[in-house]
Amino acid sequence: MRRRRHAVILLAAVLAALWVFGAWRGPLITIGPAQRVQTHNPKMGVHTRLTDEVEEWKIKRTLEMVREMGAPWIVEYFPWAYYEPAKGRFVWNHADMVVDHARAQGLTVIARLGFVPEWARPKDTTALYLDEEGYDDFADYVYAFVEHFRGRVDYIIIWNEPNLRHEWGNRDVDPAGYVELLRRAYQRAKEANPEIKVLAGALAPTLAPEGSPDGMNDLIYLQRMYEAGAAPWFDILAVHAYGWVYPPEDPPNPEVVNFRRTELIREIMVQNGDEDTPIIITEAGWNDHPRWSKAVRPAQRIAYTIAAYEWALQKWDWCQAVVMWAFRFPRPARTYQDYFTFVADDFYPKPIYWEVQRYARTGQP
Amino acid sequence: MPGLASRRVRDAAHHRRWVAGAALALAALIFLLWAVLAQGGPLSRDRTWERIRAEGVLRVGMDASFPPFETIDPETEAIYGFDVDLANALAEELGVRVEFLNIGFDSLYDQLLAGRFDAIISALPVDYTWTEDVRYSEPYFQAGLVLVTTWTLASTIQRPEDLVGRRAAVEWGSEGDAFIRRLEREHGQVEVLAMESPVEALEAVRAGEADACLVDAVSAYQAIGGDDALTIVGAPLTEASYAIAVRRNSPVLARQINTALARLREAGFLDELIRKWMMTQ
Repeated sequence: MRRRRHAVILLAAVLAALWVFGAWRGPLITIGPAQRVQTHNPKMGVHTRLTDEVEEWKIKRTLEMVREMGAPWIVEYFPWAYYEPAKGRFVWNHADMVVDHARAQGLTVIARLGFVPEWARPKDTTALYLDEEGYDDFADYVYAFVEHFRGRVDYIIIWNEPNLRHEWGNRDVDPAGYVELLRRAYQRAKEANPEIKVLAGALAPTLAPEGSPDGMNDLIYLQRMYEAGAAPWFDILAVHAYGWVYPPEDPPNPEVVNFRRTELIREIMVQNGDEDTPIIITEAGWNDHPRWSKAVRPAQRIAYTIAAYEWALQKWDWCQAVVMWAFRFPRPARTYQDYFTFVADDFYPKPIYWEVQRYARTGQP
Repeated sequence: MPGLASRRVRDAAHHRRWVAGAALALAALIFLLWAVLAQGGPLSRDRTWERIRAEGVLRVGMDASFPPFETIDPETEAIYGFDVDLANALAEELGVRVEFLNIGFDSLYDQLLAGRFDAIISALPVDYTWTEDVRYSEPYFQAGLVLVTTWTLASTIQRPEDLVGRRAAVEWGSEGDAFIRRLEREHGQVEVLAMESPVEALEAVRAGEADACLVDAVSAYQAIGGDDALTIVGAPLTEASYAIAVRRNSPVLARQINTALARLREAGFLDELIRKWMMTQ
């Protein structure tokens, strides 16, 4: 009996020693020394999708590979529901990890904000639903985010593709409603940090006809935003510029979704006296899925991607960055989406990664 | 006390027999429960198969935009191709007829699970991440990378490592491109010709600009079908098995499809489809 008690005490002592040793050992993954992106084209960027990446080494490896590829910009998603699980209670651990590793790699973070927690929306609505009653709660989150990351994150995007019904919480899209959300978020963001750059729009390029149940044509939606008084409430316009099956030099045409549709967006800005406001393309790219109707061949995908980066560098002085969708997913999407990536989920670089890296190093398309 | 001792021995033997009998009965009960209840057990029910037998119709989902496997004739609007012939032959083996549903590729799994059709036959690569949801048949076609060279060089180029120090053509950005980059890192330099398409990579070999190329099996078959100068050497270098998928709760249908596929393979029908749709088109 006594022997057993001694054994239990001994075991407890060993476990306690192990726990103390583990607690004192410090983190396994360190931020590491500050790095700088070497690139021919300072406008290159990628969407990193680290939102659901749990392990720190994978976050660090992703951002190292982005730097090594030669892209100084990233867009990363910081869902409201993840970081404010209850009103006024913020949990920034994961966001801090992503931002600190990105900065250590010399990357500029554009933070996309959205995704509504359950407490901020009516029951049985989607996480993309936010009505006017919740606008101030969202603006409070924006304030908290901007304040917390002051000096570390200088760009935020308010919402995503509000011109699509699905992204607007399965409601009829509402440009004036979005402008009101933008206004409140902008004002709170500037209260937290007057230097923050607020990006609006990130409109989905779509040819949806007037009155379509699925959404609103991005060109029409942007004009309606201006009519609703949007101009003072954003510093930069975020644009989505997918190329689908067309090369990047394909001419702009209101009836076609292509990379240079961005120029039509730009025209609307100029027509509304907003020519001093720059654009950042926060999503773009080509897909090489063998079975998807909007995909191209792998060779075309490489050529078009590099040509698009170069096009923005040479011809669009009003465009600050082109951020391609998407660098890597934490796990396979098991759809055509997997064929947008530069790196497989196991970090194996696809040929497009090496070719974009070669372009960033040499400037040769 | 010899009487007591012998009674103990008798009791112990009786106890052992009782335990053995109980264990046997329990095993039989477990087997019976598994056979009746487990999906895929020999006595398990398969309502999909029961419906197919009752109605005499096998409903097949496919994305008819992928020649030569499935495509639509613009004049008749009929779907035709390798998979269509295969589905018809399978249905004949099963004693039923086929009904085709044309569905976008990314929706095929969801529509199968939602019960819109019974099987996917659509040049569908086996994806092990789906095996909790679907049962795959035995593969009926290997679409992975193959090494193609000329008959003249086939004795010296037998495997990818033989390309070191030689000229190899690939489709830029493709799986073949990724393969050759890895090969170079592991085995040494290859003079790589990056082409716009697999057809151009094959053309480079035919024209003598490259000693070999790495392309997908379909492109290789299509090139070799009309050209006696080219040949595939060795086994496929990557796995891209095309198989038929059914719901997990269709174990009998899965078995029937595999049995029918085996008979078709045995009869040379699958080779005949390759010749018909890839080598003589």
